[in-house]
Amino acid sequence: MLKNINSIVRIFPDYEDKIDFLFQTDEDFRDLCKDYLLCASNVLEMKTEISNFSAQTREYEDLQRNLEQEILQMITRKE
Amino acid sequence: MPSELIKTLSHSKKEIRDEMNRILSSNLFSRSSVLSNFLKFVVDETLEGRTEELKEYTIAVNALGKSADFNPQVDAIVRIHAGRLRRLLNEYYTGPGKTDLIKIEVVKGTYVPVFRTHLINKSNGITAEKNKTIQYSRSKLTLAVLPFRNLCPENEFQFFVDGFGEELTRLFSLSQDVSVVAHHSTRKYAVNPDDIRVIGTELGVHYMISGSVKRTAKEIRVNVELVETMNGIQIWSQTYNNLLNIDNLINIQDQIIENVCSLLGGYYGFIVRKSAVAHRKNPPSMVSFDAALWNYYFHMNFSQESYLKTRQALEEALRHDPNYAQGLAMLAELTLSAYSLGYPTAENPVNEGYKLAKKAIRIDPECQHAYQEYAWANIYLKRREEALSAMDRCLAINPASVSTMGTIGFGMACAGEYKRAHVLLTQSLNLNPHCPWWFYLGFFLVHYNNKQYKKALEYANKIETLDVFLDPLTKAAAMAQLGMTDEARADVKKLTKNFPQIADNLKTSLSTFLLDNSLVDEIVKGFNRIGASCLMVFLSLIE
Repeated sequence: MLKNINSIVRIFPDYEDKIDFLFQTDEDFRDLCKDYLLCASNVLEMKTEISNFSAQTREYEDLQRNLEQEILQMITRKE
Repeated sequence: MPSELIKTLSHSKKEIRDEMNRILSSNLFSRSSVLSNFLKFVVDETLEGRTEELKEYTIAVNALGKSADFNPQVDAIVRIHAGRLRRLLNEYYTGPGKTDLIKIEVVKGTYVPVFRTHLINKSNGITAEKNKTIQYSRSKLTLAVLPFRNLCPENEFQFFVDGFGEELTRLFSLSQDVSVVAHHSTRKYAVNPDDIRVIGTELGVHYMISGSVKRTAKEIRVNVELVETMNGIQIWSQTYNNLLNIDNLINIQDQIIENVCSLLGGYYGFIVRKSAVAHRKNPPSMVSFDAALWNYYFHMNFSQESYLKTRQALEEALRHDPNYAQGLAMLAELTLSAYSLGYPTAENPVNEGYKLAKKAIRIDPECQHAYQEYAWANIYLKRREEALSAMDRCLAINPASVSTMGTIGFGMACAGEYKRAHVLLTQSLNLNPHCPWWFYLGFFLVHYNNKQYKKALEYANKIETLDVFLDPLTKAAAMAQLGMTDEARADVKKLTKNFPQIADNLKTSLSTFLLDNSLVDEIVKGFNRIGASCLMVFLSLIE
């Protein structure tokens, strides 16, 4: 769990306290972070397989950006 | 007391669909076609009582446009989008949808949506205000032409680009079969592009034409597309390339517009034909979807077991929707394949397959698969010219389809058109190396006919399918021609042991789908050469 928070904090270092708080108290936020990490790990995995770098990788990258945006919105909205 | 109370109640399908349309028309959802498709699919399926089919796989394939080989075990895209959909719905109901009377929720742990009454606490002074949804006029087909996009550097040739919207609208307004929205009403979308379904709802049209213009140093290219607004699916497109000649631009435009109008408009035009077919079709069902999946599976292995299951699934799908053209074409294919593979099938399989394919074409004249099977039926009926003509029509419907290219290539080989067969099979394999075993059989036939037996054997060795007599037969025949008698014996044994009836009637079996008798004789000759040698060995052993 701690490792997961750290991954999100690394993306938004200015919101460390807020992320920690939301992670402890908000189930929606935890789900969103889990989705983000799953997506990010898929992108990494795809990029290591060069032959697989394709529309699917781009789709996951777009999705990762969208989720990142959602996390930021959630952090700032609930601040 | 909370400002809103939520309780579960039942609602009519229409009320729920109206609510879904309101959600889909909102700014939040119109920005994301993926989540809109996701929501529409799960709501539609639930309203049709098909909640059991709401699995990751069906959502991925039907709503997210994933291919049939999508594997939810390794691809988490549906789960991630489901989370996004839940959050976006929450956002909708706390924002633009806070006064809606029904609440659609996708609860965690399931993809089946829940429809609740969304009660508003009127003491807060909030008045329910329903968003208006424009109803589609069903009295006549309606069309809008959107302003074409100018993709030329620095927006040059803007007069040329603008002319398409105006002129197409003018010409379609002369049509008695289609009503067209005035171009003035569509011009605003040039600066405010939106999801095509949202524009379609705003304008209340069934179809929309859009397009773009771009240029290179020497050429000007115009793309024209036709989109069905209910689902946002592009159903037709055409690209026009012309030499760039500034003095001739108006003529170029006139020619393109005339071509578009003649293809799409009129009583026999694409729009009317498409609508007539769509009107006859029932909504695609999960039964049809299952049948199609079984059919794909059968084509991976051609085993008797998968054949029987596919047949059962297709018959069920056609009971559900007798006008399922693609299903009729698949059943025609299955009936004919069973005939050539010696599986139990209809009493008169060739005529049955022929009738099914013909019916599919009658229902949907653009059904490529139906023409493919019509061609095969004609091959079995020994009508070579009809078969070749159907194959040409099949290719013309979608020349870019790699699998059709290969299938027709194989068909051409069976019809004795070896040169065209070789070109099509090679193109198909170059574009997609993953192919069914019978593409290799097509190559085998071409090379065997050309007496290139080494090449023929190379392709025969690639035909790796356990349940089909052609596997051992092609190997044995090619090896016989190469004088590899000892190596070929195992395949001869396999054929005579596993397919005794076919081995006894080899010529008849091959002649069912090969129209070139001299090729059949050559293959049988090769096989018999080994067969005779096996018999000699056997006789010498008993002596």
